[in-house]
Amino acid sequence: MTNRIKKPLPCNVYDFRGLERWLDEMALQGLFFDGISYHSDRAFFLPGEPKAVRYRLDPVGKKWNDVERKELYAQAGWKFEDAIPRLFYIFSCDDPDIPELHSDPQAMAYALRRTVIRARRTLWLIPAMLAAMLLLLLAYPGPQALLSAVILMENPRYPWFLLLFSLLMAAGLLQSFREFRRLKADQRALVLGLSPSPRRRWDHPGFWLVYLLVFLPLWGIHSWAGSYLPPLYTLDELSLSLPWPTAAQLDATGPVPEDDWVTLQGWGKANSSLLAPVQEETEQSMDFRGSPEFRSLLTTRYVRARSDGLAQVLCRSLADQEWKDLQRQEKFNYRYDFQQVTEVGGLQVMEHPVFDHLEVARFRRGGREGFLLAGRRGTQLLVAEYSGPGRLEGCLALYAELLSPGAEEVNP
Amino acid sequence: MSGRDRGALTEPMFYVLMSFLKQDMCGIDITEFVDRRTKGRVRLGPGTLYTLLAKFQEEELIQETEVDGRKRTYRLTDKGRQAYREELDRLRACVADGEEEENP
Repeated sequence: MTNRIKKPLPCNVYDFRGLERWLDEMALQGLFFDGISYHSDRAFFLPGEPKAVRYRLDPVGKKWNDVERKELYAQAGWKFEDAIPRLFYIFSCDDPDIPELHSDPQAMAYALRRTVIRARRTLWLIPAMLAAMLLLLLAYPGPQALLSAVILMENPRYPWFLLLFSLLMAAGLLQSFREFRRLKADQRALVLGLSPSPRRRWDHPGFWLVYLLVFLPLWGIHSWAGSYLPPLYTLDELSLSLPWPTAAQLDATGPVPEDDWVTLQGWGKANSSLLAPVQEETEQSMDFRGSPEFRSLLTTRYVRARSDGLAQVLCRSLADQEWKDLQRQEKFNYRYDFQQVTEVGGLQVMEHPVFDHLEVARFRRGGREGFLLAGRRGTQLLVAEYSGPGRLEGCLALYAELLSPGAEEVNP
Repeated sequence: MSGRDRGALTEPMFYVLMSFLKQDMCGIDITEFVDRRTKGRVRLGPGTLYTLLAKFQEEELIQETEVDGRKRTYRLTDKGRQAYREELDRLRACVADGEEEENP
């Protein structure tokens, strides 16, 4: 059984002169190139008696896996070893009397043409796809909704990973552009009849600097910061930070008396990690099981963000999303009349002594009055949508009482 | 594309075109011709030959006449002959200038 030795490439695959020199040096040390890894990041070697072998990279042309070329080269004393997909074939020759694979630099420059075109296409394709994806996301659901979706991600690690991933992508693209420019410079040198020089290998201090600045923080965030999945609670398990009023209480602010409330659905999550943008989030909906004409609907969403700024962003975005959702419901023809949303008014800013910011939109559902309110007080944010016999002023008073200073906060 | 647009040919390019002047040639024939004609001074690597044949075909300086298995034979086109002559004239002018400068 032969011992195949694996070694990482010391330079970029575009640095063809650097790779050739490295493979030549390895042969002089008794390691003979035997293939390249699937991702073209490692080379395999077979040990043997050290001797001089020339390894040369030949640019792939129009045809991939060009058998005719391999045979022509074999007749001339150059053995095919392996290929870097769509970039270069690798040939070797251990006879010093056989002419160089490419004896004319200008012809070599011409041969590089397709490699350069392919590299350029790949290089632009990635940012173009990313830009298209970003534009699509900015168009729908829109920048605000996108930002709030990132902030409200289920796991607080995800926004950080997204940020780091974006930074790494940007750094990777910049590096690829740099390597591409070097490849173009090599091609220009060949056109002038010059032989390009191998570039500096990666095993210099710069590599460790990149490792320290990029990979170590990535590993650190992965290992330490928010390294758990936030638990999700059912409403039975959850004692809310603030005990939100039920629809029955809201109904009581109007002329219709309380009745039995039988449906209560919802969920909640809490995370006190310093890196979690959202410390607590709950959503509950209640449904009155009565005759359809008296059916009240209430959805309450509460978010406690890490900072006032984050709460501001979320407040604006969630108010907008919920309002747009009401508009969509207005256009939709529901099967039952009591579900039908009509007369959706615009979001209007209201002054209120308890809320730092408050926006309200009125609408009707099944003929009954309803309101959407999005209010923020400091880091706390409340979005409620209600339709029933209750009155906005009375309902606001109930919410304000809970959000006012001194209201008790209880974590699950 | 005229020779002037193309720029000067390199030595291997010139000799590869020259090899087709008298007869159709295949890859091995061309290598042997260049080696013989230049007495080993110009050594044509297989990568260079392969690239030049593709380039000349693309520029319509040569055309494929026969395919026998893996063996492909090519012929010089009128455009190729013209490109060769233009290069020859350019080299003659260079040599004449040099000689005139040395022996006025």
